[in-house]
Amino acid sequence: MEPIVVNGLEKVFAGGVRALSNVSFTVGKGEIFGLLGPNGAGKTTLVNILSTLLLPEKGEARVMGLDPAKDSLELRKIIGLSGGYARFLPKLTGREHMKFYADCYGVKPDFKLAKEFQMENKLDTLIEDYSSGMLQRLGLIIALQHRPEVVLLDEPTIGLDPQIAVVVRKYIKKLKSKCSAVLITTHNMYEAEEICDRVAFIDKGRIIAIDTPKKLLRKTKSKTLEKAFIKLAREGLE
Amino acid sequence: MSALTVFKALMLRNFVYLKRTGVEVFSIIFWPVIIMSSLAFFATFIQSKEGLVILVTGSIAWSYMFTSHVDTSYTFVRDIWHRSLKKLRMLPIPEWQLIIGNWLFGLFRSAAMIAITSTIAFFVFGFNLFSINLLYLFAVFFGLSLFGMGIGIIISSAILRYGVNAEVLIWSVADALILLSGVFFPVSVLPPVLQFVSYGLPPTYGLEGLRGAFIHGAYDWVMIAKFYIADLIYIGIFWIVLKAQMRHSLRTGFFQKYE
Repeated sequence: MEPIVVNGLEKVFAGGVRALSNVSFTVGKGEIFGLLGPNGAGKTTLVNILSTLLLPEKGEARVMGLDPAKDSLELRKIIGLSGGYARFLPKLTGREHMKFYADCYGVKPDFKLAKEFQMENKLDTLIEDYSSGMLQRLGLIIALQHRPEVVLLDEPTIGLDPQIAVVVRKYIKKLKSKCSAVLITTHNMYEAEEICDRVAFIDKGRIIAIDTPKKLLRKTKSKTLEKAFIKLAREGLE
Repeated sequence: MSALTVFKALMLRNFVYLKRTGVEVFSIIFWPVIIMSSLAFFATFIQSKEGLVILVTGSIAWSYMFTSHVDTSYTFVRDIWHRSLKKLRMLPIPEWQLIIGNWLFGLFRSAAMIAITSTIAFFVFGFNLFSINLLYLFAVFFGLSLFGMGIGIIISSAILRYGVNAEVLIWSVADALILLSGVFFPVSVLPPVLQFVSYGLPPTYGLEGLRGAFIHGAYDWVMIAKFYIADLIYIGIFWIVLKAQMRHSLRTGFFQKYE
């Protein structure tokens, strides 16, 4: 069974804004799959559908065999979602949040994970005193501490300082051996090249190419994924 | 994970938040003191003991129900304020556990409210809230807190539909109930049309039952049974509305707006 299967997904928001058009792909076991595209391409919409936060108009999705629309509660137990703009209640500390989320998942807070993300000394600070980078790292810790089978990361390194971004990328690579699949969205093409086994280019709600970063570079005769994306997006327009 | 663990986690989260938000701690003491002090001055114009009992029992019961309903209504509001709603929705816990966890926390706050208001009532008016059958008293107050939960559920639905714009309902619904449920007066003084509306609302039965016990020493268990049946009907209907609203919010992308 493929950990993530997406087939013909469509999403239209109020006012007729088409966020996704006939999107299909699969993510294999042990794979780190990247969704790449500019802002507003539909990456976050797709992640939100897979993580049970949004219902599609058409098409179907399965995560570990579960339908996000119908098996929402069961699915939320086995996935971890972290976004680039994590927010928490300002009057609680990082440690209190870790404990709260761990209790709700029926696990113990994983303070080793806090150490991995260099947050062990910040856990007793109130959230209102956190920087955006610290919030983001806490978001990652909370998304991972219940050891999810599938990890969905929406722009996980956006706004992080370069040193911490390196730590986060290293950890994402390690996730390959810790869970069934990782889906990561980013508009940082260098990051995708470094950590993803396969990537899908998404533009205006449509998948315009799916392959390994190397093959995409070869096919488009480009030196970087950024250039490959621009070429393919232009071809799509023509 | 067990529901009890989730309830405990939600209550602890609310408690820590409340403890560190000075204004909210202040409000627990502030409102009961203001209400009971106002009554103390107002009482100098009231000639009958019956009138005073109606006012005092109404004030205590209303403060109690209000706290239950506010805490349930806050299920999603705090996380909308702080843009952490997406995280809350991602938790692998069903909506009923979220609602009950917040309502249970409201029960503790309500207990604090009762302690303060009944102590003031005892020393200022010589009114002993615990002088009637305690089981009856408990039945009335528990029924009020159940209705408070019902109101919290329907307000939560409105908040999931209209966002923070619907916050105003938290306060205005409580104010409407003062009039329609006869919190500070017997329902018989209302015009016939409003009496009809009033008897369609569960707290009316609880408040009438409570006044009957204090004024006439009558324990009307049939009235209490009607109170609970009406409570359950309202909670059932409001729950169906919340579930439908949840589905609507998942279609419109409401949750993704809040991170």
